[in-house]
Amino acid sequence: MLLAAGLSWGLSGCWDQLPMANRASALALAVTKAAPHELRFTFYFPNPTVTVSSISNIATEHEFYTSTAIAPALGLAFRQVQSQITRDLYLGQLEDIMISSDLTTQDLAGLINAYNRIGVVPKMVYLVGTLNRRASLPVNLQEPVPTVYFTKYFDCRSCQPVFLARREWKVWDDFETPGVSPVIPFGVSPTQIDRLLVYPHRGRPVLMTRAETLGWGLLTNHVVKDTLGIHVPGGQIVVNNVTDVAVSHMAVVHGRLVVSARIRAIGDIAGWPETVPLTTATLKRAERRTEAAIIRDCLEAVDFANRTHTDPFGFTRDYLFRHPTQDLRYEKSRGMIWPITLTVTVTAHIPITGVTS
Amino acid sequence: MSGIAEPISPGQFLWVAGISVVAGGIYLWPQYVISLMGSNGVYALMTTTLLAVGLAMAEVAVALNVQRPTYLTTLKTILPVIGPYVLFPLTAILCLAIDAIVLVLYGLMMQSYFYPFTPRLVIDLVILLVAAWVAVRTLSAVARSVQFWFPIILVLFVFVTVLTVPHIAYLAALKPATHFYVVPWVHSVFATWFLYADGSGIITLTPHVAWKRPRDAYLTAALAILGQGAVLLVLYIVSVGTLGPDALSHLYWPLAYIYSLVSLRSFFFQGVGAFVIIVWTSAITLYLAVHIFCFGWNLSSAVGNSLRASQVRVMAVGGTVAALTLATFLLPSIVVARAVLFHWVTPVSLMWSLMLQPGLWWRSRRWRQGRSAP
Repeated sequence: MLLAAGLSWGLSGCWDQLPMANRASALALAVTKAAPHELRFTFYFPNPTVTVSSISNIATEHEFYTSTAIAPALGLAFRQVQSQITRDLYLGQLEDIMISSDLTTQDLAGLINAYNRIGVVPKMVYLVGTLNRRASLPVNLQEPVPTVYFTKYFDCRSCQPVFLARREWKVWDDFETPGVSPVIPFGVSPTQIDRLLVYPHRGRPVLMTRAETLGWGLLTNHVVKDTLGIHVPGGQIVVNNVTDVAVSHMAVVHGRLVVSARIRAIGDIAGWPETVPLTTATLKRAERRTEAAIIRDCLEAVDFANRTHTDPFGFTRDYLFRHPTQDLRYEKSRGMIWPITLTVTVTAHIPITGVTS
Repeated sequence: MSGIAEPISPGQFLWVAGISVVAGGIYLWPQYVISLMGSNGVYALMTTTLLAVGLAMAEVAVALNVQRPTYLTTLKTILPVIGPYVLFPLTAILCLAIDAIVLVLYGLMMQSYFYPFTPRLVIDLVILLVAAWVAVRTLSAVARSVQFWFPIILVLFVFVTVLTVPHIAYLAALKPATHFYVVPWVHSVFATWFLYADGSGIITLTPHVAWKRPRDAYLTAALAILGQGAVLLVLYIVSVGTLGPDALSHLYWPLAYIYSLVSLRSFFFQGVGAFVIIVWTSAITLYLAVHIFCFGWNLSSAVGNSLRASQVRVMAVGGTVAALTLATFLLPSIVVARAVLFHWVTPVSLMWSLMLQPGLWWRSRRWRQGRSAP
């Protein structure tokens, strides 16, 4: 009995915890460039005076209060912010980190490494890229405090046409694994998140276009429910709920990474021009046009990768997993990514829904 | 036979033999193998598992050939001088060293993840006291404790592991690489053997099981080890499939990292940390309990089946706890403890087992043939 009591006391770890009221728990962190070797860290805390009854009266800009530090590294910023607030600065509830797009790959790698090294912070936070110097937390009527817009959006898989949510541990994993360029979604103020920010080996990140992002999603099985518009003589065919399964095989031939991808896509007819009869033959033709559109997006994404010397797909990584002999050559210049030659075979299927034109 | 040795059932033996391997050091898996072998780590896992099965078979054969109550008396019977005075102390020291380092590293991991302000000694001592509390009891009491808790541990393990499956993304990393290198393979087999060091549990307990046929003894011991090998394989797949070999080799506690990625926002608790602590702590406690129990029993069997024997046993358990506690002072940091475990203690322990077990088996056969001859 005494032993059991002693054990439960000894292992309770009560002294390792602080009551929530004594903690300032940051929900989001924004990082922008302040000077060549300095970053500006802004921590967002939910306003503790907000109650359920006052939530509708409070102005959106007062839902969060912030605390800012300018420091070369996360740890130093942590200390600066701690000296400004009256409670214990706590990152255990952190949900999003906003990264300004003028941070270079080295800045981001340093930040992620520092963050990943701190033992008790959640590795599940979402990373999102924002415009230069304007990394600010989107607060709007859709999500009142203490829910954070980005968290809510990224948590909802079916809210994203292309699943772009990237968690911190995944980005850290990309930085540690040779043969893949880390990507994070890019949010244009605040509510349009449909493009990717790709980090090359060194320097500033590059922004993909929407089509390139879609191509990336198709090749890496990240498309949840995209919509394709196809121009035909009589008007426009709209195919929505497009999802796909892509299987890729890699080989290195004469210094190029030759990728053969097989994509099986499926989608629904959402719009059909009035003048075109909906028959099996025209549906088949629409399927061919869908395949062509998918191929175009995939090739554009690969063009982007070759142009920027990146591999956001991780093709090189998958190749290196199975061919570790290449590691030695690879490690000598970690940034080296082979140029990609893509051969893609697409089979698109549009099921007949039973509604004729 | 002494009071602590009413026979146990083959099923209880299965659970006890299972918990006496792998359960202690599971939280260290599979980082070291991956850092040496990358995508080929599964070869090292298969090799250590097969070695463990082979050596366990030899242990069962020795125990069945000689039929003495403990490992020490077995050694005394077949090698009257060198057995109890050289082979047993060396085996015991290696087992205790592995147990001590596994416990030290566990305390360090608990401290860095869950109890940042709790002294390491408190964590280690609490685990040791519970283990000793189980270990001073009778064989059937120990077996019943293990038989009750181990299935619960396994169910919780399956629960938390299933939740990590959605993160598996790198199927390419699970396939063995196109090239195979011998040196890293040998190195990783010799570095991760500690998972299968059973504290002479199998050889000590085999004579106390009500076997229907001798064959059952071999099958049960093999099943226990293969079952634990399957647990290691599952964790290998989860960790390599989630993080890939490159990132994985940067983490001292890859499994703690991977379990920390599980987030159940829609459920009534957010993470699975509490379950992981329960699984690992109860597993290492029972693992140490079985090892300490076997060690104490072996020592007490040196003085026969008297009242003194049980006093010796309690003293042996107390001494083991004290020695393990002392070890936590001697190993100051994670880096030192890992280096001692992977580079020194484990390779020596595997070398020792590989030399000793086949020799003992051969000697026990000779001894039995000598007795059955007219």
